[in-house]
Amino acid sequence: MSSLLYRTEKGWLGREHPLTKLCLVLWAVSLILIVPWQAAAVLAALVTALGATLDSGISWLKRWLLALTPLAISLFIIHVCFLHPPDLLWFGLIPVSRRGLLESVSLIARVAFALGVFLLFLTVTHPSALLKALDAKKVPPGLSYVLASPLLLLDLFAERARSIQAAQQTRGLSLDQSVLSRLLALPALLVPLVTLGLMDNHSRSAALTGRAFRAFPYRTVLSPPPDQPHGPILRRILLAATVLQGGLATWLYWK
Amino acid sequence: MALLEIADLTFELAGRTILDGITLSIERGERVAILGANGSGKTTLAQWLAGWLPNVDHAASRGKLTFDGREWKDWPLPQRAAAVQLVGQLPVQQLSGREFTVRDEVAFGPGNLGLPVSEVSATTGEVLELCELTHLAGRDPFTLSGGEQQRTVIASALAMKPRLLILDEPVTNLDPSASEHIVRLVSELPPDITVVWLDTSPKIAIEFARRFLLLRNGKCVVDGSPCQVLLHPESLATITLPPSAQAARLAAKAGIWPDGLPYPLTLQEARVRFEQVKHDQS
Amino acid sequence: MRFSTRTLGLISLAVVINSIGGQIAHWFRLPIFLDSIGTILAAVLEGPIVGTVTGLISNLVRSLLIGPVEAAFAPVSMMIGLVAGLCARLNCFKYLWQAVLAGILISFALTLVAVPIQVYWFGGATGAGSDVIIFYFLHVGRALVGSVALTILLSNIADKVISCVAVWFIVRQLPARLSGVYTPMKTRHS
Repeated sequence: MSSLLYRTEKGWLGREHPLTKLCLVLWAVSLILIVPWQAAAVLAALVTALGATLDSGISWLKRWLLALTPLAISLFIIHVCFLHPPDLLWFGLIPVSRRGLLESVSLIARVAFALGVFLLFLTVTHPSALLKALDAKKVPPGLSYVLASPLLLLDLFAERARSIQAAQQTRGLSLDQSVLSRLLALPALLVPLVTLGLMDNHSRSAALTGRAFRAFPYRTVLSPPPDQPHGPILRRILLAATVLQGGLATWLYWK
Repeated sequence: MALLEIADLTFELAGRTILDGITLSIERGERVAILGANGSGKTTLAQWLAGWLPNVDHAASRGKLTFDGREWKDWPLPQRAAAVQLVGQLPVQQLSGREFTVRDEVAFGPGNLGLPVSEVSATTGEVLELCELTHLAGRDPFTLSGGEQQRTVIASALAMKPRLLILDEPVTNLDPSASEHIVRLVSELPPDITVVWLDTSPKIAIEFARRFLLLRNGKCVVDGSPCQVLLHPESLATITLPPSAQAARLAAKAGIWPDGLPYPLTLQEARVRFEQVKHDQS
Repeated sequence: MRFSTRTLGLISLAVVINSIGGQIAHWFRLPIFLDSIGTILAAVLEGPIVGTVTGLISNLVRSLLIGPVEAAFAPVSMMIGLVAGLCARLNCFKYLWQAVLAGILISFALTLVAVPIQVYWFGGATGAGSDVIIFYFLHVGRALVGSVALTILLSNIADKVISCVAVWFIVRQLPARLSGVYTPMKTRHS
C-alpha cells in the first residue's frame, strides 16, 4: 500500500497505543476551539518541534507544509485583502486590513495546529494498528472492515482501472477528442469497473460469511497493539476533557 | 449416517434449472471429484455443499441437503464455518479484504469464532507451515502472486479446521508450478478431512480422488470409481480425459488397443498397459 | 441497524471508486472530481442510510490517504449520499432527466452543508484552486458566505450531474443478478 501517510516510527509516539493517540488528537482539536490564537500559535510551534523529533520528521514536515501553505495563502488573501476595508499600506504599496491580518493569523495558527496534530497521528499510526486496537476493544467488526477494506483494495482497483482503460483504447477508445466525446467515453471504463467490483463483492461477502465474519459481536485479534499502564486512565481523562472543551466552545460561540 | 446427504436437490435461478434432482451422499474421509463442463452446475453445487446456499435470496425448488443429519439452515453460522469451507477459483475474491498481512488473513476465520488468542496463534502457525507460507507471513495478501494467494485462501480455510473442504476449480487460473503446490497440499491433507474437488478435467483429481461424479446440465449422470466414470460414454463426450487415456483412445481408433482393455487413467497404469499392448503385439 | 456483509462490501467498493474517481477524471482530462460517484452508486443501490454512511467512511478513509481536511468535510459527503439515496427511494433515478435533476439537487444540498464548514472552520478557504473563484466574488463585492456558497455550487454542479448520470447509466447496464439483490433496485424491478 504505497498511498498511506504512515511512516515507521520507533520513538515513544510510535509506541503509544493507537486509541490513546486518537484521544490525544480529539483533545487537541477541541482545545484550539477555546484558547486564544496566541496560545494556538505556541501550540502549533510545539507540534512543529515535536514533529521534528520524529524518525519521519522530514516526511511529516513536508506533508504539513504542503497541506498548510495553499490554505494559509488563501486565508491571508481573503481576510487581509477582501473581507475588511484596508487601513494599512504594506511596503507603501499593498493596502491591507489590520483586522484581517489578525483574523487570518488567528485562523492560520488554529488550522496549523489541528493539521499538524492530525498529520502527526496519521504519520505514526498504521491503520492496521488502529483497527486492531478497535477490534481488541470489542468495537463491532463491521466498522473496522469498512475502514480497512478500501485501503487494501485501492491498489488492486487502480490497476484494474488502468487495464480496462488500456484494453478499451486498443478497441478504439480515444482520449484525444472533445470534452463531450471524452465524457461520453467514461462509461466504457466505469461500467466494467463497477460490474467487476460488484461481482467481487458478491463472492467476497459469501466467503466472509463462510469464515464466520460477524458471527459474534467481537473478534479475537492476534498481536493487538500493547497498551501502556497509563493508557486506559489517560484516554478517559482526554475524552472527558474533549467533551468539556467542546461544551465550553459551544457556550462561548452562542454567548 | 453419511457426512453429507443430498436428496433430489433442484435449484432454479432466473428461470433456469441449475441443479436438477441431485441425489448423492458423501462419507467421512472420502476424496471425491465432481467433473462437469462449464455451465454444468458445478459452482452452484459447490455453494450448496458449503452451505453458501440456500440464503436470503435463493432457496431450493425441491429436495434438501443435510450435513451430519441437519440442513444448513439449522446450523448456526460459527458451527457451519467450523464444519465446511469452500475454496473457489479466484483467490482475490476470497481474501477477506480486512487483514494487512498473510498471518492475520489466516487468523481471520478462527478470530471470528472468538477462540482464545493462544489457540488462534497455534493454529495459524501450523497452517502457515503446512501451506508453505511462513516466509510470506508478513506480506500484504493483495501483493502476492496468484498461486501464493490461493495457498493463503486454502490456509485460511484449513485454519477453520473444517471436516469438509470443497475446492471449486482452485487451480484453473494458476501456472503449472503453483498448481503443483496446491495439488501436493491437498493430497497430503489428513485423512479425516473429507475433500470434494470440482473441475472440468480429471487431470489433477485423478492423483488423489477415489470416487468421481459427472455433472451434466445440473444432473448427476455417472457416479463411481475413476474407471467407471471417466471411461463412461457420457464422460468421453463431455470432458477431457487424462493424457494417458487420450493416448490409449487414439491407439484404439488406430486399431492398436485391444478391445476390453481399460484405458489407463494414471501414469503408472499407462506404463503397465502400454507395455502389455506392446508385448501382445510383438 | 445492522448492515449485511454484502452491504459493508458495497460501502468499501464505493469508497474505492470514490478514491480512484479523481484519477479517472485525470486520465480522461475532464474538469470534474468524480470523487462522489461511489457514494451516489451505493445510495442508489441500497438507499439513503447506506449512502450517508458511505459518504462518512469515504472521507475518513480519504483523510488517511490525503490528509485530515477530508475528515472535516465528511458531513458534505454524507449529505450527497443522503440526497442521492432519497432520490433513488422516490424512484427518481429511472430516467435520464431525473438523474440530471438529482445531480442539481445534490449540488444545492451539499452547498448548504459545506458553506458553514468552510466559512466557520476554515475561514472561507480550502487551499484548492477554486479559492480563486472566491477571491473574484469577494472582489466584486459579495459577502464571504455568498462567495463561498456560489463557488461551491458552481464547482460541484457539473461534477454531481455527470456523476449522477454516470451512475444512472451504470446501474441500467448491470446484469439483473447483480443489481437485483439490492433493495431499491428490487422495488424498481417489481
